[in-house]
Amino acid sequence: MTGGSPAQHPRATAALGVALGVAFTVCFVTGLISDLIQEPRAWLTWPARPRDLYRWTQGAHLVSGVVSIPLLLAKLFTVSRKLWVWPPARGLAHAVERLALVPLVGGSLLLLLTGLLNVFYWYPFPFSFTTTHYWTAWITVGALLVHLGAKLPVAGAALRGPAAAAAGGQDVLAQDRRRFLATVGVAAGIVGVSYLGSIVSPLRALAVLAPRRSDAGPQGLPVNKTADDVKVVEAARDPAYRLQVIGAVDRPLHLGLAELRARANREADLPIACVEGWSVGARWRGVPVRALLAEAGARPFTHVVVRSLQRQGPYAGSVLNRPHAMDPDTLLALDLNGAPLHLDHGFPVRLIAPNNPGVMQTKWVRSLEVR
Amino acid sequence: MTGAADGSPRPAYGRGFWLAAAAGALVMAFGGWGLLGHAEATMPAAWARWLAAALLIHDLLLAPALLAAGWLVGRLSGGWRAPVRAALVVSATVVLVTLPAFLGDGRATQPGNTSVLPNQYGRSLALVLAPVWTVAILPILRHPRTKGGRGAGRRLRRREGRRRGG
Repeated sequence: MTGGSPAQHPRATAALGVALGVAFTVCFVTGLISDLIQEPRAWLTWPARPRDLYRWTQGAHLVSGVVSIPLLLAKLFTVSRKLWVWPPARGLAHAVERLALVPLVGGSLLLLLTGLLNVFYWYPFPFSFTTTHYWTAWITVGALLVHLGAKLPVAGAALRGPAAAAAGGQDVLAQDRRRFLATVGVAAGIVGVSYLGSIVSPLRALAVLAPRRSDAGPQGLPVNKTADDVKVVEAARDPAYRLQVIGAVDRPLHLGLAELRARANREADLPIACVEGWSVGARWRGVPVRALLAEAGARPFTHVVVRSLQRQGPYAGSVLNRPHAMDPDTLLALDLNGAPLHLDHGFPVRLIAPNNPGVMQTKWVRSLEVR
Repeated sequence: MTGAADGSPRPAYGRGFWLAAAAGALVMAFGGWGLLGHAEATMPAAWARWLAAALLIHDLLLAPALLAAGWLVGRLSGGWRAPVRAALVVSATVVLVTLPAFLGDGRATQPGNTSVLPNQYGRSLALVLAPVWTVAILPILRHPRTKGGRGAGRRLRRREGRRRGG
């Protein structure tokens, strides 16, 4: 090892590469899961149980993403001298490997940047976040495969080989390198734990760096969109409000608030788990969707379309697949933690189902359509 | 596998590499197809500009700044160097991931929603960074000699001697 700082050693690069590989894999897989649930495919029926599965997959997406920021920057630092190697390519394979770095590094930076900006609700970029984040992930993972093809043997050798034994000795440079890696680990750890605080309720006091706290909001629960913001205040408070159960049913229902209240006989402890990663458990009381479907005489169905008083935007409705619609804990909730639902939490009734992304827990429900 | 001139190992580029490259190209093509196929949402031209900007800002601004900071820290006297470097790495990370709270307009997107960015992020930085710097620096302040005399300091003196000598 000549020149550069002790951190700029293949062993440091390899160690960071392994950490980053794990974080990116977790992030990619959990991101795909979230997409599969929100854009259902014929070959996958997302189950209603285990209740907290989505909470953990999406929490893992958030934490692995934010932890990747220091890991990626540190890894790029360890190889920064290589950017200027001359000649730029030693042959076709080397040229392919280096060209793949453009989508790999550019895609990684873009994914982490847009992901971070999204959780902070800051949109300086003109493209739509979700769609672009999704397709950029595929491009980046493709480039990562090329990179792994070239670097996996190299990294393995750097970590295990005879050269590693010599380089991993007790000399001061190795000590400096270990210190660098430990520091990056601490930096990633601090950020990761703080974001974990917006997912794991007992750690919520640590969520100082995160854009959400799981206890900040009306009734001690965060709100993604307020009633005012989506202009449903009037419709939600209208005394003429009726919940409709329609579609493939023998007896369509039109239920006012008092009639819903009379049927609100089930309590369930269920989390709100946002696609942005934060989550919090709460106690809900409401009318089981299953009971409403039975009362309406639902005919055999594949799914239930839930529509909101909110007419526009991604929150205007959602689809309950059969396992979710039939789960005894899937409620049209009227109470949250023992008090009537706050307007911003979806008064008069909101959907709350186990293992369901927050974006699909439709608020201000006006109808259930059985299909 | 052979060693490069700078001592870093070089890949052998066997059949494994070309298989991975082919698989990677397929996956990238799928991603590119999706990106172009949803052009209304992804705005490929703007996307490409942002990708290039991310690369250039990293390679031409961020990375040189890190190298410069590393060089500056290297000028510190022995005992201070490692703890200051560690505290700087942690601080830079924490500040970087919190920057959108200061530069962005997240709260303005939904006036009245108290659960959006509920922390006071200046206070958060102080809360996180004060203990980091205390833990990093306190041992040196308490035992300046012992720390300064160890590895790092000796190395610095060695290097300085070399520079003057050569």
